Order: sequence, then structure tokens, then C-alpha cells
Amino acid sequence: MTTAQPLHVRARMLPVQRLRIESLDKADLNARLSATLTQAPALFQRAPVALDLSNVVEQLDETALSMLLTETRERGLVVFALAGPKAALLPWCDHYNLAWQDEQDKPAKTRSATPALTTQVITQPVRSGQQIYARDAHLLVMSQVSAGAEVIADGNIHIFGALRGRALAGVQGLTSAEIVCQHLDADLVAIAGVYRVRDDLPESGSAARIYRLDDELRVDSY
Amino acid sequence: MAKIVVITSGKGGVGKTTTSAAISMGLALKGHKTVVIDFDIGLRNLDIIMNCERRVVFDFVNVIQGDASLNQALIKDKRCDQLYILPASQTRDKDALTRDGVKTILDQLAEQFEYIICDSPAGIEQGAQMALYYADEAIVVTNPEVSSVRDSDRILGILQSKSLRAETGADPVKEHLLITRFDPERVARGEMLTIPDIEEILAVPLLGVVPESQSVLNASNKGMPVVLDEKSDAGQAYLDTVDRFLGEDKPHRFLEAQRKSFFKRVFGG
Repeated sequence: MTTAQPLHVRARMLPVQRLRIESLDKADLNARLSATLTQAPALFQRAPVALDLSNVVEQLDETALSMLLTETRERGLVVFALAGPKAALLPWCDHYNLAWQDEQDKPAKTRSATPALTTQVITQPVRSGQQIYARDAHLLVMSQVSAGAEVIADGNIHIFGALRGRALAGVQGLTSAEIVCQHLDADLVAIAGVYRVRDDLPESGSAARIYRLDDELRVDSY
Repeated sequence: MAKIVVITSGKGGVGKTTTSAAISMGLALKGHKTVVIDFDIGLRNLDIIMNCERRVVFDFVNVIQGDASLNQALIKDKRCDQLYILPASQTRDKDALTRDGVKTILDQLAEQFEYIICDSPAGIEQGAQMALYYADEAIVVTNPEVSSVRDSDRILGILQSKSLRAETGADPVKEHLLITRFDPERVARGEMLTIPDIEEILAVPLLGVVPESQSVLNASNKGMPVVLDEKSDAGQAYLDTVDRFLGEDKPHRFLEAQRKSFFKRVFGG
């Protein structure tokens, strides 16, 4: 005898429209809503909508919130959640039986002020005794790096051949830098000051990716 | 348009001068008018291997300094009239060469000759850099051992960074790899690098492989480029190398250890 499961939970990501409310003035709001909805009527019809109240949470009271809900719902929006500071909004959510969403529009992960690195490309083999430094750049070597040669970069180093010499990535302190080569047979590899010499490297001779995990160098062979 | 070819290696004793003599003689025997210049000022050897040391009156440095004309210094080979030798000075050192002086001489030689072979001194200092500076092509001589391969790699780097072609951004110097003193038996025993190993490390097209041979020493003692000894395997290997250098497609020989015949095993030899 088989019985269908009475409940089946699936986590899904749903597209949700967020309306950020910038003013609680009814006339203002109406004008703005009308303008937005005439521009894209289909976008908001029966669409799940969260009201982002982050910017008006200070002035929020019962009248204002009830006005907001009425005005938006009358236009066909399905408001199901409030978004903004948790402590201030949770009582309202309970009161109106609404969900709560975290604040949105946080600035994207803070980026360092340094400009994006460019890439320096070397097409010739890097021979013994030669030294190449990609300042403020990634280094891409389309050929090999011979024993006794040294390639250095502020960013990543990618070598489309054998690495038999030394490779030092992230020399200005970029710990997320990495070294990738098709055939690891290096004298020395270093990332942001942490180094390993030949004796401490695997003797695989295969393709490898070398990166820094905390204060250790990790070597993944492929 | 004359072609300037440098014979170089970085390491000493690998066979640069032997190769210079053999290749220049080989090119001359094929009917190409060739001059071979000894850039090893102060340690001249080429004239001994070419058996003309007693005919040296003026040398490379004399011509650069204007003490003699080029034609006074050029020595015509007695065995092949297409071959000339410009000997080095034994009494000066390598600082006697200047870029301008070398250029003047090469320009004059280019009017008369098809091939200008420059026999480089060992090392990577001024003398070696002078020999390769104006080169169009380079034959890098390597022995199947790690230190020699490493030094060849170094000199290849200098060819690609410090030659005239590199400095002016012209087409790069065309590189050829010549493996000399190759001993198939020692390779089989794992005492020497194999040819694929060397090719992989240096990433330069292989022009030829010359086996280790007693005939090379005999030839240089007699002052006779080894290509003139047609019976020797080294001589044949050099002739093949010259053919390949001129664009012919020839298989590499002498790569396998020869199996000794029954009589040789019994009676030695």
C-alpha cells in the first residue's frame, strides 16, 4: 500500500520584486506607484513583492503602514513581506501576518581600492638566468620557464608549459594569488612570501595549482 | 644576402670550435662560399683545427683596429677554395672587440660570402655576446648532460634578449639545437640525458646529433675538420647536419647503440 507523502518540502529561490519606499506621503507615493506600474504593468501583476522600509523605518506608524499596504495591494501587487531592520519591523510583520526579509542593497562586498590587475603575456620560453616581473599585473607564460629562470608577479602566474625555475606570485602581499602550471618541476614556488623549495614539492611532475591557505602553501596536482 | 650563423653553447669544451670547423667546411664543400670567424680572442683554437695556424699573419683584432685590411687577414683553406678563415688574435683579450668594429667587418664579409660562421667563445660575457649580437641564426651546441643543457638554455635566453634582432624587434634569431658527444650506450645506461629530454628542456628544434667519436680528437689533432673524414660516424653526422641546415629532410642517425659483431666481441675492437 502506498500513501502519497502529505508534505514535501523543497527549498526554491524565487524572484521577488522589492519596492523601496522613500516617502510616506500618500500623494507622493501614489504618483510614484502609478508611474512605475504604467511603465511595467506585467512585471507587478500578482508578483510577490516585498516592501523595503529601510529608509522610512524611523517615521513608520500604524496609519502609514496600513496606507502603504492598501495602496499597493489595490494596484494588484501581492505584498507578502517587509524588508529592513529586523528589530523595528518584526512587530509589524506579526501584526499584519507578513514575512520579513533582510535588508537589501548592501554595498557589494567591499572592494580594495587597488585597480584591477592587467595581464602581462610572455610568448617565448623564459630561459635560465632570465627574470620577468609583472608589476601590478598577472603573468601569463605561453611557453615554459626553464630551470634557473625566475618569474614574478603581483598577481597570479599561469604557465602553459613546464615550470622548472622559480615562480613567485602575489609578491606585494596578495595572498589570494595563485600559480598554475602544466608541469610542476619547480625550484621554488612562493605566494605572498610563503614559499616551498623543490624538496618540499610533490614529485608528480603533473599539472598543478598552487595557492595559499592561511599560512600554508597548498599544491593540488591534476 | 649573407647569413650570419653563430655557433654557441655557454659551456666550454662541448665542441663549438669542432662544430664551427665541420659546419663551415661542410657548407663550403656544398659549394657555398663560407667564412668562419674565431671570436675566441686570446684563446684561439680554430686555426689549429683548420690547420692554418702557421699561416696567420694578421688577425681579427688587427682588422678591427685598422692595422690590416680584411683581405690580408682572411686565410683561404687549402682543401676547399670556397672556405676562408678569419683567425682570432692570441695576444689581445676579448675587450678588443667593439660592436661597431665587428659590424664593419661583417658588412664587408657579407659582400663576398654566403655564410658567415661565428665561432663563439665559452661563457656568457662580452666575447660570447659579441659573437651572437649580429647573428641571423644560431646553432646551440649541447652535450647530453645537465650542466651543458642548463648553460645552453642561458645562452638561448641571451639570444632572445641581447641580440641585435631582439633589440630592434626584428624576427627573432632562428635557433637550432646540435647535440654533440652523444654516447648511446651511456644514455641506455641512464648516465646521460636522452635526446627527447634535452629537446623538451630546451624547446628548440633539433638540427643534428653527433656521436662521441675518437675520430673527432684525431681530426682536430691533425688539423682536419672531421667532415673530411668520410669514414667516421661523427663526420657523417656533421654532413647530415649541414644538409638539414640547408633545408634537406634527413633522418637522424647514430642514435642507437651499435650491437657489436661476433668478431668484435671475440677479438675486441
